[in-house]
Amino acid sequence: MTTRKAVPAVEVRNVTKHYGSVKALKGINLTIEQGEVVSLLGPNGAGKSTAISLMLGMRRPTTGSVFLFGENPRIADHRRRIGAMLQESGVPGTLKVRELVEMFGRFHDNPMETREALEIAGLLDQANTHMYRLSGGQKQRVYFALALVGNPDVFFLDEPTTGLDVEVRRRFWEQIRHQVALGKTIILTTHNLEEADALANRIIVINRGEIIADGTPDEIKQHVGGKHISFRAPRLTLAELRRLPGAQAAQVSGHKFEFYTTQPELLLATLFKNGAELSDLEVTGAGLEEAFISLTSRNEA
Amino acid sequence: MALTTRQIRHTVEETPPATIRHKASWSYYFYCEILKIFRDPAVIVFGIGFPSMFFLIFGSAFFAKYATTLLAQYAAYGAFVVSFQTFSSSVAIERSQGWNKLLRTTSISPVLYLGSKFLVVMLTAITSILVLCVVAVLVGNVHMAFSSWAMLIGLLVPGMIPFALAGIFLGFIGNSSLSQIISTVVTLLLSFTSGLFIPLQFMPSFIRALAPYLPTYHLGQVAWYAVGSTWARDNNPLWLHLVVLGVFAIVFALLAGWAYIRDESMNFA
Repeated sequence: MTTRKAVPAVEVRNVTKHYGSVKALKGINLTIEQGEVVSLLGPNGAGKSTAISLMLGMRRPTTGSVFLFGENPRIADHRRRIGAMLQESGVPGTLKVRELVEMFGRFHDNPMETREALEIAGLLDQANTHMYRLSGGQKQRVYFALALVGNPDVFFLDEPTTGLDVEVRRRFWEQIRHQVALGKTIILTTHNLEEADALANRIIVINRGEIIADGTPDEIKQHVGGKHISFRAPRLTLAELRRLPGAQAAQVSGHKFEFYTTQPELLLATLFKNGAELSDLEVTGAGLEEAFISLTSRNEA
Repeated sequence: MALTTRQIRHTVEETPPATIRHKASWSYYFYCEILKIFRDPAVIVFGIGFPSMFFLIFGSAFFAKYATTLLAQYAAYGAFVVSFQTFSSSVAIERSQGWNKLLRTTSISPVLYLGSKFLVVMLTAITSILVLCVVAVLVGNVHMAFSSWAMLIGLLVPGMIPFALAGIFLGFIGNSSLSQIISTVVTLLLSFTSGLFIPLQFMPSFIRALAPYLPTYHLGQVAWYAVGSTWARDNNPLWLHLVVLGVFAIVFALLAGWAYIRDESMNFA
C-alpha cells in the first residue's frame, strides 16, 4: 500500500483580511494537518474569530487563499466534512432538539444516528423539547450535538465553553478528547489559557492580526524563558513591586505577591539590595499564562 | 492460524457492512420549515384565522347579496398577508438570531433556503384560503361552480409572488423589530387603500385615485374576477391586472436580490 501524504485539513496562504480600513489579519500563513488539535490563542480583537470565519468559508480573504481539505470553503458543497460551534448562535425556537440535530446530520455525507449525537451531548431527555425552553447550558450542548452529528473530520470551535461552569467545561473537554482519539482535527479558539493547555497539542498565538508564535504548549512556554516568582512581603506594596526592573503582570494572590519576569536574578537582587524582607519565596518556570502575556506585550512594544 | 468457520461467522455478524447513509437534506429541511410555520401562533392567528374572522365579522351583515364578493377580497387579503408578513418576519428573525450564520457552516444552498421558504409560504396561504372557503360555504352560503373555486386559488397562488418577494426584500433590509413594524403598517395601509377591507366606493376620492397604483388593488381585482363578482370590479380586463402584478414582481425581485446581496456583502464577505 502506497502512503500518500494526506491533504492538510486547513491551509491559509498569505491571507490578509480588511474590513474597510480595519486590518483584521495582516498576512498570515498556516497549515493544519489532519489529526492536529490546534488552539488559536489571543486577546479580544486579535483576529482569531476572523481567521476561523475564513477557514469556514463564511468570509472571503481580502488577499491570499484559504483551503479546506484542499478545496475552497466558500462553496457550499465543500463544507460537508466540518462541524462548527460559533460564538453567537441562535436557532429557531419552535423546533425540537431532535428535529434540529436530524436536520444538521443530513447536510453531511455520513452522519451518525441522531440518537447517538443526542446521547453524546447528554440531550436524550431533551430530545423532544422545543429550543425556546432550553437553558443556556442546554443550548450549548445542542450546538455541540449539531457540530457532532455529521461525523465531521474537522471541528471548528469558537470559544465553545464561554459561560459554562467548571464541571460542564471539563465534561466537554472529555468529549473533545474522545473525538481527538478518533482522529478528528480540532481547531479551537479560546482565551481560556487553561483550556488551550488542556486540549491542544499546538498553540498558535495571534495578536493584532499576526501570528506571533506557533508551537506545542511546551515550546510556547519555553520560548519565553521567564520565571514565575511569588513571595510574602508584608512591608511592600504592589505599586512598588510593579516598579521593579523586569517585573511583569504583578498581582496579589492570597497573601503572596506573584509576578512574571525574564530577569529573575536582577529583580531579586534589586529587592534584596533595598533591604526587602521576603518569606515563602518560590521561583518556578513560566506557565502558559505568563508566556502568553509576555508574547503579546512584546508584540505591542 | 486458520480461523474456524465459527470464528469467521462470528466476525462477519459482529461487523455490519459500513454504509454511506445519504438521506436527502432538502426534504427534511423543508419539513422543518413547515413545522416552524405551523407552530407559530402568530401565523395561525393572523395568517390563517384573520381572513375567515374578517369574513364573519365584517361580512355577516352583507352575506345575502355579497358573500361571494367578500370571499374573494378576504381570500386576496389572506394571500397577501401570509406571503408578505411570513416571509419578512421569518427572514428578519433568523438573520438577527444568528441562525443564518450557523446554517452557513453547513452545505446548505441559498436555493434550498429561499426556495423552501417560498414553498412553505405558498402552502400556508393556500391553507388560509381553503379555510376561508370552507367558512364561506358553511356560514356564508356561498355557492360557486367548481371552476370558480379553481380559478380563485389558481390565480391567487401566482398572485402572491410579488408579495413574497417584497417580504424577502424587507426581511433582508431591516433588523427584526424594524421589519415587523414596517410589515404590519404596510399591511394595514395597503389592505385599507385597496378595497380589501372596506370597498373603495366608501373611501375618500384621493384614496380611490391612489388605489390602482397599489399591487394589492390588482390582487383584489383578480380575486373578484375569479369568483365572478362585478360589484367591486373596475372595467379593466383580467390580463391588465396580471401584467401589473407581473411588473411589481419584477420590481420586487430586483429589490429582493439587491437586499440579499447587500446582506451577503455585509455579513458574509
